[in-house]
Amino acid sequence: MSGLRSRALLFGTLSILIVIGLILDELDALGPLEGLALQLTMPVQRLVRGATDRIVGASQFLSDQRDLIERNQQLESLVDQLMIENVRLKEFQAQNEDLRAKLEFSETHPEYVLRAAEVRGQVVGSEPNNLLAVLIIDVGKRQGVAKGMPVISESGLVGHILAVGANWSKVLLIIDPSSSVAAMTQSERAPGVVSGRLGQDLQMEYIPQQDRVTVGDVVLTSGMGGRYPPNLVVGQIIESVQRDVDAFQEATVRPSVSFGKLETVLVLTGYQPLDVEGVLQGEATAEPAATPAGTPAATSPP
Amino acid sequence: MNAYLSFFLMSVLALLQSTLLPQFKVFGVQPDLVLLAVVAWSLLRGSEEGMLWALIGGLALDALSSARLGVNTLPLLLISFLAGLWQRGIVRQEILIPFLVIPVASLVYQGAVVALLRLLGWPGTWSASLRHAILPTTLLNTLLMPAVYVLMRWIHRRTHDENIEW
Repeated sequence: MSGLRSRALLFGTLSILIVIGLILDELDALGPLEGLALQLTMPVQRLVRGATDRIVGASQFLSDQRDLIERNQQLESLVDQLMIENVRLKEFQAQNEDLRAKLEFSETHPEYVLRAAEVRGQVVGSEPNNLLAVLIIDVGKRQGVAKGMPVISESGLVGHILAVGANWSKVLLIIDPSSSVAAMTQSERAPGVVSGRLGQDLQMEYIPQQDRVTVGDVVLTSGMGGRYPPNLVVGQIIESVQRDVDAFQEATVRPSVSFGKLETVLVLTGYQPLDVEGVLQGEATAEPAATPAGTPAATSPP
Repeated sequence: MNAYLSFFLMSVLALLQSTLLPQFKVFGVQPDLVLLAVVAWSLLRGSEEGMLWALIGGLALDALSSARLGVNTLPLLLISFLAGLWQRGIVRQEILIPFLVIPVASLVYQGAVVALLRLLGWPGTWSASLRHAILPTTLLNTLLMPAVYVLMRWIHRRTHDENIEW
């Protein structure tokens, strides 16, 4: 019995200490300690991940050879179509640049110069449990990465920086249940909010009933809320649900990014996410200032 | 096994769980390597050493995870405490016992993690967690437990004269 009592006492003591640690972490009092472990293990994580990437890559190649041949034929056909569309888009781009120069658009709207500043990060680790969707990448404050910055891949939106250290960052993926992205459909510009769901495709909610949602339509970020810049590819609608009794429509969105195969990502260091809570708190505490006559009112980024 | 070796082993297991295992998911999930080691060691050596492994492994997982400190550690401590109660009541050489214990331990551990996450504001639902994470992970943990237990038993036999004093 005394053995059971001592074990229970040990369990109780350790549990209380861990609960205290949890409360301190919730109050963000453990920041420097939290980063220390990742900073120390980053070289090892990079090494292990690099080795496994090579092993996985080799075995994947052997098993997918037949699929690769078929896929190659499909892609060649797609390349031909895209080349034609690319020529058209280049025409539009040239016209667009010309108009922007004439309107001096780039000076009055610097937030549109997005891809000029980005940092490439290697994925070195993932969330160790199966409930959360977070990646660890090997770039941090030293490379100009800050909390909240959007993260993308060549296929589309990946997520945003959740936490950052000197040489590491944690990326909250858009497939995580905690993630929400202000989005819109490409064709009809129907607005909505895309949320992550455990083990499933994304869910687009709060789509107005009067807007048309088409299966196959591409979903882009809308830029609302300021967390992500507009026009980043989120995914494609594979199912829509519209019921007259509901206030809004819903749709299922397949993400454009293959999150299980991510090796490198890009952090958009040139984009400053808007701290909505900070702005609202600032407005609530600041005294109203007199606006001189003739001064244009300040506007938030589109 | 001395405390330094325990620290090294559990840190390595946590690192592998974060870095290596996500590349080899089965049923869309990865096994809880740290949980398997903690359960096996608690059955072999009792709650005292099991809780040391749970503490080190749990803190290592918390450091690598985006969840708050303690979300992985508290459930591991609970599991090691409960599993260690069996230590004196079972024939340690039986592989069947860990094979039967791990499904229950896995369900309790993951259920506790979900409960803690939801308490801290995580929006994931119980039904989605059960269907897409808890049940497939429990199945995977059960399939891997015999291999992990054999390895832990080998380590136990090599180090059974070294008892950790708190």
